[in-house]
Amino acid sequence: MTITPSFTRVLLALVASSLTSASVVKAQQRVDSGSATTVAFVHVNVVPMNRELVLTDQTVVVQDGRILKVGPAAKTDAHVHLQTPTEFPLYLANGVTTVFNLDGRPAHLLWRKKIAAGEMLGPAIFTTGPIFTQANKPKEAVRMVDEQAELGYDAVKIYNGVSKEASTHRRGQEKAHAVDGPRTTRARF
Amino acid sequence: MLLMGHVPRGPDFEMTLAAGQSIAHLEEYTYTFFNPKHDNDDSHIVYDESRVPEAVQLTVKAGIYVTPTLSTYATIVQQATALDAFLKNTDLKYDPPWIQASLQPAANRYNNGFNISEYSRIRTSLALQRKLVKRWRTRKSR
Repeated sequence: MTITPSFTRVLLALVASSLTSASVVKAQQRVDSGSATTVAFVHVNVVPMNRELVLTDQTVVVQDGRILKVGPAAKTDAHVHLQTPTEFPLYLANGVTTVFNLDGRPAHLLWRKKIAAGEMLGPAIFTTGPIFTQANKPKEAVRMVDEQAELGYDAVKIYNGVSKEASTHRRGQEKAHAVDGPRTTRARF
Repeated sequence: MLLMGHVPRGPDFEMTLAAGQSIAHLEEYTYTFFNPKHDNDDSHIVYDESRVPEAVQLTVKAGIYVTPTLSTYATIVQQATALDAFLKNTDLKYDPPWIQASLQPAANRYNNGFNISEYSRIRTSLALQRKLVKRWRTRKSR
C-alpha cells in the first residue's frame, strides 16, 4: 500500500469489537528509539474514513502519536526451494517477506547475507543445508551436521532414505554425547 | 538447529517423532503412519480417516512442526490427472525456463509417473491430508 500524507491524516479506527483488552495489549509492539516512541498494532482490522471498507489483518505503525504506516501483515512461506534470485521479487510482490528454503547450498548463504545487508532485494532467507539423502555412519553424520552448522545453515534436512539401522546407531551416538547439548541436538537423527 | 524433512521409511513415523524431527509434507504421513506394512509400496497405504485424530495427537504430543504443503500436493494431483488444465495457469510464466520445461507433457514427472489406475488413490490421499489439517485447526480453536 502506498502511504500518502493525506492517508495518514485520515481518522482511523482499530476495530476492537473482536479484540479483548488483553489481545489489544498483545497486538501492540512498542519500540523506543531515542526520544521517539513507535508502536506497531499488528493483526488488526482498520476502518479508514475515506473509503467504505474494512482493511483486515493490518499492521499499523504509530510514531509519537502519528500514523506512520499502514499495510498488510507480511507472510512467511515455510517451504520453498529457491532456484534463482529472479524469483525474489515475486515473493515480495505477493507479500512474502520471509522464506524457509528446504534444500540449501552455498549460494543460499550468500543470498541470505546480501539480502540482510541490503545489497540484494529479496525475502529474508532461512535455509537448511544440503539434503541428507541416505544413511551415514554415526561419526560421519555428526561431522556433516557440525559442518553445516559451522557454515551457518539454520536447519538439517533429511530425506526418505535414512535406514532404521542407521537411526539406531545415531540414537546411540546421541546417548554417547548426552553431555554435549548443542552437538547432540544437531546430530539426533 | 532445527531437524526437518521427510519421514525416513526405515525409522518410520514414531521413531521420527521420538527424534524430534519436524515433518515436511503431509503426504509423508500416508507413506508411513497410514501404511501398516511400513514399506515403499503405495498400494499398501490404508487411507483410514478414523486414524486422523491419532496421527494429530501423536504429532502434537511430540511438539514438532509440520509444513503441510497441501497446495503442492493438489498441484501434483492436477498435473497427474489434468495436465492441460494445469498448464493453463498463467502464473507459470514466472517460473524459471528450466522449471517450465520440466512441466511440459514430455517431461512432467507426475503426468508420466502416475497411470489412470492411480488417480483415485492420489485423490483420496489429498482428501485425507485435508482432513489432517482440519483436525489440527479444530484442536487449535479449543
